[in-house]
Amino acid sequence: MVTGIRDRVLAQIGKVVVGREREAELLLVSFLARGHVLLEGVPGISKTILAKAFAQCMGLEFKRIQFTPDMLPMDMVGGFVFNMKDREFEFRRGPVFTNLLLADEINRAPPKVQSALLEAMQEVQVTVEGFTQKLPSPFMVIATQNPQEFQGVYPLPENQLDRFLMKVTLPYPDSATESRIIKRNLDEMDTGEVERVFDAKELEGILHQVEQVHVSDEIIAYLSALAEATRSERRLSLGASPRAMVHLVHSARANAYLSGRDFVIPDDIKSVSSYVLAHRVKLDQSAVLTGTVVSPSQVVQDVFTKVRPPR
Amino acid sequence: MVFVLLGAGLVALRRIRPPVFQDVQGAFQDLDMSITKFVPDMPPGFSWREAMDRLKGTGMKVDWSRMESSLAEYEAFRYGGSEMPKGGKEEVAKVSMEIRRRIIGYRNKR
Repeated sequence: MVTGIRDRVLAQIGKVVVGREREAELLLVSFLARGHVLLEGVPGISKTILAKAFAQCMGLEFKRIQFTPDMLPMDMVGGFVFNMKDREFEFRRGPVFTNLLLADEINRAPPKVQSALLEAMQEVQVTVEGFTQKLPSPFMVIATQNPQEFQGVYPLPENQLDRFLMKVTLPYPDSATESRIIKRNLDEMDTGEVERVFDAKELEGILHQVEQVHVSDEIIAYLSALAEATRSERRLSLGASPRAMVHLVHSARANAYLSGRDFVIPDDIKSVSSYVLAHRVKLDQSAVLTGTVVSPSQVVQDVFTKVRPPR
Repeated sequence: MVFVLLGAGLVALRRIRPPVFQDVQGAFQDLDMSITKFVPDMPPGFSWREAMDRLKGTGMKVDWSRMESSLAEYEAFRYGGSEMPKGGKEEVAKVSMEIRRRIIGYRNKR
């Protein structure tokens, strides 16, 4: 088991991003769980720089796509172009062929493009005109969206949101952190070079070890009870799907590994639950109108306080 | 009357005497019962670590570093399939007893 991964990664990201330790940690958990992340936040709160720093320190190839309403699927996945020299069509790879793809402002792209990306996320391959090509491994998508935009956007439907392992909301920094950010930029001190923490072989070994983390039958039963509790929760009109619970157990495994354990404990599940489940459940409108619930995250946390974990 | 008082005293003493357990699993089961019964604002979904964090703030005279290592060993057994740890039950029993002693003391004061 490789130890100190969390500290090593956070130390590197901390060279360029101030006050985003928890978010960086969640990116790491998602990566080790082989999942994708949706980052939500207003512009200018270091979503892009965080993703870029993360890719650099993990030694991953990084590409960024700025999503726009006039985008086509082939702008992302690539397509066939005619090679005049060989007089035949050849497949030209799009920017999706990378290790870490930053899909900036995913909700500005039309549903066809969103759907093509989400297919790539799910299958880790793309198909163009019957020609299928595998994406590089590891493959991770970090998508961003601005919650304040309403004009010219295509909100992701529930079935597409369900494909993201985590949704992480980035709030504004507190005043002390904001002061540090301003000071850093004034002094031009944020030019610290992010160093690669792992080589490709070590990274592959770590991903393999995470998959070996033990999940006991009782923990699995606990997950089933939690899923059932979200489905019977009257403040929710849509509970957690089986895929959500699979994603939750993978995230818990990654969290356990980062904590230096080779087995999952209930706290691993609890620590990532809001990020994995809140964007997949749907609030019941009557509960919203009567003011008995504020956010899906709150309901998820309430469910966790009611269901007894194995002790 | 004297016998009744003596009997009540013995019962009270028995309730706050450090319990003896065969193994650490029994000690943790007893601690679970103590927390569930005597810490009413602890939600049913509490985990061991959440309970430890909560109890640490109460100022109990417990060696928390020993308690944490007992818990880590118990977790490895409970969730990780390791062998049951041989030691550690004394510290767990002490926490359980402290909870009861405090609650009983609080009730008597009232």
